[in-house]
Amino acid sequence: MEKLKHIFAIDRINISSGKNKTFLFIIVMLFFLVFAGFAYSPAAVFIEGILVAPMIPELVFQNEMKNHSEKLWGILPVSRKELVNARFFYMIIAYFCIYLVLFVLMRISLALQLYDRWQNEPEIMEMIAQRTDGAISVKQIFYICAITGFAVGLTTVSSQLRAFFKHDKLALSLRSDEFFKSTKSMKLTDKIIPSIIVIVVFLFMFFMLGVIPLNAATSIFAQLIIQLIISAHGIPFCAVILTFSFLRLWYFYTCATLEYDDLEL
Amino acid sequence: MKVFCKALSSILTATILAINFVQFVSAEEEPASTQLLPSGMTVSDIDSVFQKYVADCERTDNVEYASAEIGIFRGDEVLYTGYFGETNLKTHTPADEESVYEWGSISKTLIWVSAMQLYEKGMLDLNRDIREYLPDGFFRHLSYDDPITMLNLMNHNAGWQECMRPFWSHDGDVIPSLKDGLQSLEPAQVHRPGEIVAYSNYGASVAGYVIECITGQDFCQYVHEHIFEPLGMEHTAYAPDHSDNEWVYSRRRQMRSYKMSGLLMSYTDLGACLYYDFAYPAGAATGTLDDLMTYAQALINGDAPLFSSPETQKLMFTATDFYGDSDIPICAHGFWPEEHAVRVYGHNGAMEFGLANMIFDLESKTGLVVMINEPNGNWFFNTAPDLVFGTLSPDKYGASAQSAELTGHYLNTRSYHRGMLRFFPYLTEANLTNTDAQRLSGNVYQLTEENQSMLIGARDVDGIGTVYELSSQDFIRDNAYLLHLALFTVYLMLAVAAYHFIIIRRKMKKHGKLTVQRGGAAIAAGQLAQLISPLLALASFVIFAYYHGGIPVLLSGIIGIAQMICIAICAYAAVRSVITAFTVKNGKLTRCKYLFNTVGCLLTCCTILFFQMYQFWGI
Repeated sequence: MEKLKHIFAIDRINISSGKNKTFLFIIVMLFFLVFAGFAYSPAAVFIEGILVAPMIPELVFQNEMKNHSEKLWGILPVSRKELVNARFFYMIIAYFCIYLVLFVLMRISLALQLYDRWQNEPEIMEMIAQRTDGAISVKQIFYICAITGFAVGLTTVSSQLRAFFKHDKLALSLRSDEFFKSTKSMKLTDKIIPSIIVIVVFLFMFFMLGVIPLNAATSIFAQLIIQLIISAHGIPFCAVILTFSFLRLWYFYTCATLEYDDLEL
Repeated sequence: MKVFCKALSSILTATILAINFVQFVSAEEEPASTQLLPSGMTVSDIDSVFQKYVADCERTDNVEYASAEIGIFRGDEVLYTGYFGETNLKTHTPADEESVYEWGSISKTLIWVSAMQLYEKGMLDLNRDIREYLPDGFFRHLSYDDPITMLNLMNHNAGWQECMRPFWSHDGDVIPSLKDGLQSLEPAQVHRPGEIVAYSNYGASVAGYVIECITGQDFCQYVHEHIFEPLGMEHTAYAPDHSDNEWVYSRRRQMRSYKMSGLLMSYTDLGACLYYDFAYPAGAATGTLDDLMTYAQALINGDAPLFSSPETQKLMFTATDFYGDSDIPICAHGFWPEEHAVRVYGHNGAMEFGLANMIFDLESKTGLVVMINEPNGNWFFNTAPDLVFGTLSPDKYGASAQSAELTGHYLNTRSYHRGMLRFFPYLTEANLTNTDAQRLSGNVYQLTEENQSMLIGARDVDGIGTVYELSSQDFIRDNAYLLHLALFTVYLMLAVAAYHFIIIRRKMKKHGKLTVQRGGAAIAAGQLAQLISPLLALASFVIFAYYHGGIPVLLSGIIGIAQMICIAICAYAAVRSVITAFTVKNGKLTRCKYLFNTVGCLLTCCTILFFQMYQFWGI
């Protein structure tokens, strides 16, 4: 536990040193989400998992690279596994705290319903409730969105952590203009999976909005997901998706531990 | 003077008589538009509502319907016909008198009328076992020896579950005979006849085949001869491919179906939506609005043109099933009573192409027919019945202020209760709370929401428990619903866990960190089975939806056998894990891992067995 505190202290120093565009970006995104949650829909909490979560690991790794403090770990009495454990631990806690604050704010927005006062169209969760003929209420949809957003974000944070531990130059390349050149050296699977997650989420949104019409095959999957969501107030769906996200976390943690151990710095 | 008085009195008398005559004639010729309907609205009021809706849609450039045709009649008089929208949004073909729509399940009333015609002639006994009319060995999956009567088929309580085999085909060249079609579709009989109402397309089609067996005549041909032709319905077809009416055949292929989808409610063109029904009596009739209205008018005509005696028609509309122990009818020889401001009888229909509704008030002889080309419904379809017949008021049956205990989870009987799709009803349960219902007399409840009410009956069935009755189907209370759903949920979670255990093990092996353990192969096999089994269940769901509500025999056999293999592997892995955990020297963590694997395998086995995911025969 002591080592974890020391590692966290070093990372905190890194984050707070000098200009930090990523930190600023996270703050701006959070404000944007809170505004969207009060002005348009509390379902904005769902988007946090895609927009803000990936920035949390980047915040630490980028500044580490900027300050060249990654060399410190070569002389400090910290093993690679301890470093992986510590960063996974406190970043997941940080993500959870940010999400909790956002969730509480969105819950307040749901109660106040300020978005209804100036919008002509019904809010998106109300539209979903109408489309299910009242089988599921707006409040239930909100909780399902919140849990799904948390699960997506947790997967994204852990996936990003693994990527940064696996590719020591990744944090540096994300800051520089050589991003695309650097990512060429990444394995295809490491590029594909994060891309797929984002594509699937946006596809799902477009299907729900009807921008992309559902053909017979895809509508079947949507129907199964909807059935899971509708039954027992969405608890089965939430249980499955949370299980998926925590197991993904465990998988990425295991991968990070193994890959960072083998990485030649 | 006398002459003057006589002339004056004659003129006065003539004038009075003339005035009375004019009033008499005017009273007989009251315009249709001003006639009062059971809802309290006039026809012109209703037309104004329709026209306002159309104008609002056009004004906001937000048309929320494809097409709708509406007919309102009273006795022999047609009070109103309305044609709205376009049957083809691309070519802007307007809905008109020559548009043809599918009747859907309204077609079943043709079966019931035919049955009553044969009953009237003494050729059919409604209380006799239908197996006496059918060829020997026609049914192959019956679970009970109890007789199945025509009344059971009319009441939809013969005990069959939903068909698990494909009901339709896209290929018009491969339509089996009615007998072969029914034998390929035969579902499992899961309830004793007379116990549970579960709407059954199969049961209704069997009734059509019974008529075919009795008359020795093709059922479609029988309906043409005894219903369509006597009523002059020249623009209605009944064969699954519409080949019995050339005009309908041609017109139907020009029709398009549309579906609103997505939150932005945009229209998707579903095409002509031609499906060829293997059990066509249940839903294949297709025709114009005029023909459907003619048919409906015949059903309420006091002269009963479809029967030899009006008494048979009256008998047809007497109740054969009731809500709870009340005298409120829930079914009348296959016709479904609906409670509005007045009680109406009729039937609605739903097909992949669109919806239709036919309802009429036997007292005032007022009727309504609606036909649309949207399978999800539209504003016209949803509002027309209430506009014409009003809504069931909470006070109609004297609902008490006392709320009733209708808590719990209820499974729809019109679903799959045996075989590999047994998990379906658990995903579509109805959950009631006691603030929703008010008790009427006896075992009848009334659910009221936003000034609209519906009735629910209740009864206790031996061996099943509390059953709640809605129109056309029952709901069975499942006291262990949450436990069953939890089992299914854990089954899915185990699959997710198994997948991750497999990929983590692979990763560790790749980095040389995997230690070989005794029983490791058994664990790995068990985890693979835990992953594959839910994928097979998902596959059955996907195949079922792809074939529009059925799984072909071959595919169900493959899935069933694969599930049996999964059970065997999981059982072996569970036993092996337990033995290894307690016989080999292991650390605590390793022992926990083995026991976790054991529990996972056992839960997977339990799920497959409970939900009968292996069963592909007799369903």
